[in-house]
Amino acid sequence: MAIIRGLKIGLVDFWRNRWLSLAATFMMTLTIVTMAMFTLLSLSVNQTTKILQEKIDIAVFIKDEATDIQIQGLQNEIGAMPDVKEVRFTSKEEALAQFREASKPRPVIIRLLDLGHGGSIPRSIVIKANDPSSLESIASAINQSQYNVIVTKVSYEESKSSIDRYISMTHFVERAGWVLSGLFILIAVLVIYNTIRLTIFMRKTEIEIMQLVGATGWYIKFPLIFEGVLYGLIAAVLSTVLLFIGVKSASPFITKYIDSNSFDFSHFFIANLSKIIGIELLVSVLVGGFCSYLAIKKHLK
Amino acid sequence: MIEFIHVSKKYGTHSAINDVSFFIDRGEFVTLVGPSGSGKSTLIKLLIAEEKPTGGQIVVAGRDITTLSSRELPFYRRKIGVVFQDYKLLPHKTVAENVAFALEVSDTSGPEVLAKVPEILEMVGLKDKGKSMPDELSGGEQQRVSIARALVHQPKLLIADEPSGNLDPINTWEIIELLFKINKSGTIVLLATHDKEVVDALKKRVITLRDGKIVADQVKGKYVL
Repeated sequence: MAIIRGLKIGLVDFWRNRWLSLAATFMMTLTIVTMAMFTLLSLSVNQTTKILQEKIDIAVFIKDEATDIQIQGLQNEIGAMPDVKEVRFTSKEEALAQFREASKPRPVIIRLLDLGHGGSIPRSIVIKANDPSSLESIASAINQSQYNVIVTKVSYEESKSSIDRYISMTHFVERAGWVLSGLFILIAVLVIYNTIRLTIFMRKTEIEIMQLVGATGWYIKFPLIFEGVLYGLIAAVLSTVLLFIGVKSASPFITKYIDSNSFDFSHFFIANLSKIIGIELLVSVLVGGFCSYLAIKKHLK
Repeated sequence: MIEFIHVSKKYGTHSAINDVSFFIDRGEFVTLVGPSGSGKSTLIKLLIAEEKPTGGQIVVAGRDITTLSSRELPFYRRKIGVVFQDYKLLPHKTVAENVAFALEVSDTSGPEVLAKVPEILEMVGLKDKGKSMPDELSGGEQQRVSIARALVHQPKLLIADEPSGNLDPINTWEIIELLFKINKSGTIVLLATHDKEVVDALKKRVITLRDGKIVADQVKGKYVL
């Protein structure tokens, strides 16, 4: 009974101070959208980095004079290394076929290959590691190996620099997200705090009479806390809608920028929708309720 | 029923109430008089537990109210009724809603509220004004609403702080008669007033305060300052 009355009072106050309520809700929405947007971006960049890291490998090019026994020995030695996930040998024929396949758009190269100029493509061993960061130590281990004599070159994928670029971008997105989210949370806290404070001032006589006729502290505080929670609830709903629209329209650009076929930003958002809504609700309701509580504690004697 | 035992209240170095002791028995009608600043309002604030004394004990129905916790306070307030000079009505609520409000805060059920409110409005002579807004009523009528609200919990003590301060003589007497009627039903009435005519005509117990001290406590007193 008391809860229903409290909810009713909270709703009436929300409507009575609708412009203030609107400002508080808007600020909260902005905060949540910013936080969610940066979290999403950060998560998706992380995800893409992982996909790209999956693709990083080392190619060990073998000298033409190396014997099969020597190659097998090298392969065994690499396979025994703790971080190595996959070792794959590519013969001259396979390498040629791959090169021919990759050069299809360039007929000049295909013609040269047809004329027998592809014989110089070396055999290679392609290595993948469990953790791409250990590729560097694998590469140096190969350089120090007894089989180094049959190796012409150990290529550490050129993509390493672009992976590093992605990692630093992730960090930047994360940091910018934290700073902006923190700033918006601060503004939202201040706006909501002041809105509830004004509600308390507007209802001063009513609260005074309530206390006089024996209302419990909870009875007086509940509608005010509910009002703060209400800002949060509405903001969570609004921000989900805004995010949905935002992600739908920005998704093609983001997917293109991240440059990966295996990652779709919009799908990523939808797959994590329940988690996103849950976190939004939690953050907004906590912030709203907490601000109200603070205002009540300070201004309600 | 109500006992002040060596009660003092200081605000900084200023002593608002200084070593005050008295006893009020069940069913008494007591008038509290004194010039402005004599400590009447402070005494009422202490009695409704809005303030805590700096010394002494205030015992109401066997309970020392100076030790009430904030959880116990609302339940104590439901046992006493308070009426103020400025009525303290909620302007956006009807007369009936203003009275019902006091019941709602104490979690009274809907049907009980609906039954009690007309009953109490009839008692204060406002049976037909339930749907009126406070600003549609005269000062006297507004004070009756305030009394009705104070009575809904059937308190054993009704405190009236200058209830006729804003009223003309006719309305004043109507309010005093109403307080008399309430007192006859067994409720203690503690009336703080400046109105000499009222005090002299009442011929009831008068406690006179001056500079925070009781200077007179007469069984059938008069307004003497």
